[in-house]
Amino acid sequence: MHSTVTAVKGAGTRRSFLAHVCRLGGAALLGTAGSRERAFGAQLPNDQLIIRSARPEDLETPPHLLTSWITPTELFYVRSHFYTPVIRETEWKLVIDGDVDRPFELSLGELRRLPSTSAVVTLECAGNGRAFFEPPVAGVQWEKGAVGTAEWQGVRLADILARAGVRRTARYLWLDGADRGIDRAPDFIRSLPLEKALDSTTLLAYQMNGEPLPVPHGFPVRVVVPGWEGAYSVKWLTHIRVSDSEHGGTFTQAGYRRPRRPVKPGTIVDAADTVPVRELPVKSLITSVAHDAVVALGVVRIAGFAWVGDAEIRRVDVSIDNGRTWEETRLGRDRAPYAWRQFEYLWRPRETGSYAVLSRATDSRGRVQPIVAEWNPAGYLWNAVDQVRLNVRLE
Amino acid sequence: MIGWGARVTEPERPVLLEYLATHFGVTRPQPAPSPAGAELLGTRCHVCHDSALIDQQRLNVDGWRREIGKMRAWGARLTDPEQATLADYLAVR
Repeated sequence: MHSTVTAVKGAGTRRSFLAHVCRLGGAALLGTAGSRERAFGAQLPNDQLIIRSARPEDLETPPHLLTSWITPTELFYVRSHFYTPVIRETEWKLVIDGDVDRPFELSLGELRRLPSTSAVVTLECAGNGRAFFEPPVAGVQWEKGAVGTAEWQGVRLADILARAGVRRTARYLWLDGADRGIDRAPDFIRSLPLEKALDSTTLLAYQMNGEPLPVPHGFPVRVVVPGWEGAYSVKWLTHIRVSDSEHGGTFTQAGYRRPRRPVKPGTIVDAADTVPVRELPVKSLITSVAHDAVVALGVVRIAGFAWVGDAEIRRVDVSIDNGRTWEETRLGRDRAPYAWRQFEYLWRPRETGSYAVLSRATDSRGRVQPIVAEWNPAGYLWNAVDQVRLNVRLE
Repeated sequence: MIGWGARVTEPERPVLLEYLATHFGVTRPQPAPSPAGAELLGTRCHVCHDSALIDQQRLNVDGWRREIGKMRAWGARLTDPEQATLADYLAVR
């Protein structure tokens, strides 16, 4: 099981990163005006996040801090492929062109004046759990916390596309943000199939949890593609190009793909034998108790979240006897079509000892979280049954 | 085992380890990381990445060769011999 996997080396704390945060905060202040300046400063990730990479900025949430259905913005994981761009609010514009009848540009003010909607959506990095794959694969060694849920407010992408007049030949949207590849690294551009772009919950979001998007989360505008791995939700969005084909770049043709069929772990797979990573698979995460927690003999609250990209969570079961028997948990009342669902089980241990606590989600299409995650060369979509260790003592 | 009485002399030790590593998959003693590799890490990798991202990788030498190859295509300034030195260094340090 993954709890036996060697802990990731080199996970720093936020404190060693303070200088970078200050620089970033300063950039945010320079690029904006009025009361929003303070909002960005207040929402920068705090020092409880795990630094997987300081530059580019990749920050993970320790699972035991994920206690509420809506993740507080300052605890929300951050994934950036390249350095965080500095964008002046007054200079930002979004270009929509390509296979459309009426290409146009939007300023931030114009976008904010369009009819808006909001949705609670869970985002998860495709590489969440990469640290548990054996043999190891290259990339940010995320453990469990590259996932979070926020209320996103913005304009439906479908409304923008309707205004542009998408042509019959259109099949994909090429989404590009203001970040740029370092040196000769390719620009981070993702292809979103048109039918997903037209989903009424696919948004161009400019608010997160009721405040302007913080810079690390894509200020001023990011895409939110519900139910699909997080890299579709392009941050710092500046350009939507409508096309009859997928984008030909690295982050569509090489990255974010998995083998068409299961492969022997360690296999190098030709790109022609891969398919794009899209929907998030059924998965649960134990957030209470924290891994290796010590608790006093008495009632123990076992809780967490479960999610899936293209269905609903039907049930979550937990096991405290190494998977011999399973108990159904109570699901939380808070729910939304593309948001995780909280689960809770109150357990009264009869005696002290050290226990493996497992969680296993099942979705409305009958798909059950697997015992073994499917190995793939880039370490995407880890979704094995979750496990934490719980130590029960007398005091 | 030597502590428990196995009769193995110092000169015999590496020979035995090599045999066990070859035939039974026992981990070989790792060579010391090279100063040249450390220098390349500092001057060619840290230009773009902080040490945390590199330190957390769990790759073997083949994995590092592939990853460094990708980084060269993305602009990392390394020659073929430097790539080999750096991959060896990152795999054993």
